[in-house]
Amino acid sequence: MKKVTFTKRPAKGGAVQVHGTVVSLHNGLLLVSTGIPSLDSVLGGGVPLGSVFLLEEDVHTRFSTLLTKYFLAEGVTSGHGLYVASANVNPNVLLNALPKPTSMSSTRSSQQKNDNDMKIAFMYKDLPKNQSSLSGVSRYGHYYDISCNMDKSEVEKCDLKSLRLTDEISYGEGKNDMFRYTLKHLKQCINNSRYEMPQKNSGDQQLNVLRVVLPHFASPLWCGDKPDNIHNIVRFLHCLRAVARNSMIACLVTIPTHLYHENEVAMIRQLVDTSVELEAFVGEKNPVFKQYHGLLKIHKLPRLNSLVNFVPDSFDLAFELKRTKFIIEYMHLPPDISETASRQGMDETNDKLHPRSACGGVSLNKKLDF
Amino acid sequence: MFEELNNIAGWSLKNLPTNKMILISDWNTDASFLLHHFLAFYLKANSKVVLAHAAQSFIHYNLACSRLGVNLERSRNNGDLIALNLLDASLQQYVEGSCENLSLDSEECLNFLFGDNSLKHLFKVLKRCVENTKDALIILDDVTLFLGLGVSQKDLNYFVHYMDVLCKSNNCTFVTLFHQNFAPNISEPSPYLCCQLYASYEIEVKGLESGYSKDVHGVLTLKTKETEGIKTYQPHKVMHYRLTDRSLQLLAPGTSSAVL
Repeated sequence: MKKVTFTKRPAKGGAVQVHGTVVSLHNGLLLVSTGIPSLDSVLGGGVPLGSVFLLEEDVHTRFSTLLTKYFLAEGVTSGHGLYVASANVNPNVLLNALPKPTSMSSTRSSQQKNDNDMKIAFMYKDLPKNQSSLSGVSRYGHYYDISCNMDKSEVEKCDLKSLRLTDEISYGEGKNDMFRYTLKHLKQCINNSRYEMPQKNSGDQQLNVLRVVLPHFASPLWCGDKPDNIHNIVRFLHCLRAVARNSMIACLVTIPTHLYHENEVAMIRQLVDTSVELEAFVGEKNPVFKQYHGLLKIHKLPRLNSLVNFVPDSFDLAFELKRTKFIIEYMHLPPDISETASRQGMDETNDKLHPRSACGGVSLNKKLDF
Repeated sequence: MFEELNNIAGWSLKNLPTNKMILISDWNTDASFLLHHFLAFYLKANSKVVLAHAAQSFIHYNLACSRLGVNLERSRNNGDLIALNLLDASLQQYVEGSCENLSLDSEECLNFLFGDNSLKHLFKVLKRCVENTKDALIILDDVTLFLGLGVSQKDLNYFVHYMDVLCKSNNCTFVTLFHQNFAPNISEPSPYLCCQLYASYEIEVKGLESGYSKDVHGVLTLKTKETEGIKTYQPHKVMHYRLTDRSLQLLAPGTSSAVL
């Protein structure tokens, strides 16, 4: 019997259903939510199961920590297992400050207020995906209020494993083996619990997802003194991918990539499946960016089990941290192709924006005359 | 299998490229869809294929190639396809750690691929796989990954040379993928140039210079090196391509001033 984890096929014993996941509309992969509905829609529904999601941190790690907390909170509300391995901060500190899930009724009233503003049409993307409740299966994607913390009792209900990498643990031949130690520990946790890929298609098996979070990975605390650190990081990510492909896990790794050289970052990006960078505005903000707090740059989108991947409508994304939530929006609509539409305002904003790489720009080169 | 690509390159089911090395290179994008093309192409021609995959799991290739009309699972059961799971081998060696001496005949010597950080074991395994067959295809996904994992540039150059000799002696074809955004150490010969030296065909994939477009996904350049006969000028074939789930559409670049 073929392995069923990534693509949902109508099997004899009924379809594989894991709570807190949804089947992607684009390629049939099982997805888990990141906790932020707007980020989910940009990624094509969520993070595919069995993949590694790299979040390239902003310089002060303020927003990346917030995204990590959202990811963990979503795991708690969906009933998934959690695994956190951290060298910098005590995982419990992170877990004590998760955003609190809000109920449907309170979000609906706040949505109505937002509708009156009608700033950007894509505000509607924040509407909940599932209007009808699925019997027995918890909803996909929840709403959170970051001004309140989640109850500790909720966090304790789920299957939580954490690893605090401190100097007290002996890693073997030196600090370089911190990576190896972490991976061995993770693999052991997966083998001991029910997170391995189901070999036979027995419909009665209770499958669950483990969310693996490695905050502030590859920061200077993780790395030893030797100059070939990038090889250790690459090796770890390669083996993490091997583990992920064989288990029911979704990994979130946050790396401060601004500390690394461009070529090293390119190599790291090759070994993950999805790569998203947060660039927060610091210092004087360009007035073009209005109320946003930073840009969200997509460097890589997951291409698993197919030749093509999902592509969002536009790559110009910006994020904003409101009092109770974090949202991602399209900065401006893609340019209208028709000749009559006035594009003067668009050209001004395009000039003011930072120059982009070849694969991300939306600016129309005037030489094209299709 | 991508028909249009075969037409451009002059390949067909009866005219498979043999005895050659084909290099697929990309710059800031992912050209692994071409690997699926070669997989489907050679399997349809009933050749033996060795797939040494280090970047993705076997299921990925299986499902992606099923859209192209070949069933990798069935080919593997028949014996037409040998899949070397370097991804899992690397994990096992990383976790287990120790390097014991195993006989070369066992499949487990793959596990100690990264033992001395050279690719000798991998070469021996590949050689053993194509030993008694003619017109086989070896696909290695991908070569830049080894550079990231710690193999030195010099060792990689030696490996490519050995593979080239293997192709010429055993009459098989070697296809590999190289990501060009790897910055080489200047004091040693660049591995990309070394691969280019041995490759008879190079397919280079890049994004469009004018930026991202939904309809045209990038530029594909086919470079052919004719080793027999005398040809004074071999133009590179530059095409724009569009990738869909089942096919690759090749489009003429056009005469717009942005392109020329």
